[in-house]
Order: sequence, then structure tokens, then C-alpha cells
Amino acid sequence: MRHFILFYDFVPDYLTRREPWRAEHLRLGWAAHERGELVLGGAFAEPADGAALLFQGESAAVAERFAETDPYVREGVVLRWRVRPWTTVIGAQASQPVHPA
Amino acid sequence: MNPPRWELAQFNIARLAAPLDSPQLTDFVANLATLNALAERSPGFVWRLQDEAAGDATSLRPLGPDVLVNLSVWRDHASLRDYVYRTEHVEFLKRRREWFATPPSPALVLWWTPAGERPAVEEGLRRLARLAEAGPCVEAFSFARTFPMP
Repeated sequence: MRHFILFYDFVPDYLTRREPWRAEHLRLGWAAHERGELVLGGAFAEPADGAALLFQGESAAVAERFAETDPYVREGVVLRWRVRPWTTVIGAQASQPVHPA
Repeated sequence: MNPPRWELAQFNIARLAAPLDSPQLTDFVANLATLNALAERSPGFVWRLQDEAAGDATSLRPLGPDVLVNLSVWRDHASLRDYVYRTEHVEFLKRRREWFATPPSPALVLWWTPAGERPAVEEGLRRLARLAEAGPCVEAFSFARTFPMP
């Protein structure tokens, strides 16, 4: 199991543009969480100009699939997105725990 | 050698001359999967927007029911140009007036995007508007006047 972070860049009027799609976006997110794919997700604050969503799975496809079906991407709330693999080494859920010698 | 820091995004729109399920569009629809597969195996192809169910972008109609959008990312404009003008794709390009109404100008926009980023349709729309309003610049250009990778 590996970790991947999906980053969103939002349009400047994100708070307004998200309203019609927020319920559907949240449903999609919670469904991914219940499938064990989305670990944590939410928008940045001060300013709310983007978001990060942490996924776990065998490949980046788990996060890419989410982005490609997210109404925020489809309906113009998100300008662009990217997925970065994240090598997690510290914490109870770390994919590759590393402890000091 | 370090991987490139930038990739080329392309976005274009096409106004349907008839509904997608009409006889006039039969050849276009029948060959869409072939054209998309050809793009995917073309040197320099990186990514294309597609609806998960259909495998293409025809269900995405942000500009209304009669306007199709196409959004993809390539290694550079040479690789995109090769696909568009030097593969079987060009045969379908020649037939575009059978399937599509005269497009607004501009109908296509190119821009450099950081490697790994995937543009959403909203970004394509904004880049196209930028090109229409202010002409070609490094943020929004066309094949007629390209800008080098930043």
C-alpha cells in the first residue's frame, strides 16, 4: 500500500463556484473514504486557493480516478490538478515506517 | 538527464453540425475510439481528458449540448503537431466540415503546464478566452505562433 496526494488549484471564486457541486463532491469523497481509498481531504485555508486529498492504494490511479470523476474538476471549480506519490515513513499509517537506528 | 519540467496542454472546442447520434456523425463517432487510441500510442502523448464511462470527452459539454471539448497534454508541440498532421488523424481533420459547424476563432489553444499537472476544462476555457482577447502569448498560443518551453 502506497500513499498519494491529490492537489487541486481552485478558481479565484472557489467559495461561490463550489456551492452547486459541494454535496456531490462530498458524497464522492466520503464514498472513497468508505472504500478505504481516501484517507483525509480538505481545502487549504488562508487563502482557500486549493486542496489536498491523501489517498492510499497500489498506484496513482486511485487518486487520478477520483479527480476525473469529481464534479469540482468537471464543473469548473478546479483549474488544474496533480498527483504526487508520497513516501510516508513516520506515523502509525506510514507505508514504509523508518525508525532511527 | 532530468525529466522536462513542462509539458504542452492543448484545448479545443468544436460545434457539432448535427447531434452526435445522427447519421451525419456516424463516421466521426465510429472512429473516435480509434483516433483516441492512435493519440495514446503516439510519441509524446501524456494524457487526455476522458469520461470514465465512455472513455472519451463527448459527454462533457460545458459550453452547451452542441459543443464538444477536447483536452490533452503532450511532451511538446512537435509531438502534438505530428499526431494532428502526420498520422491518420489528418484524414479526419480533412472531413471536419462534414461533422462540425464553422468553429469560433480561435477554437484551439496551447499552453505550457508544469509536468505532472492536469488541466481541467475550466482552465482550457480561460486560456481560450485569453487567446481570443489578447492574442498569442506564452500563456495562450496556437500552432500558428508557438512559444518555446519556459
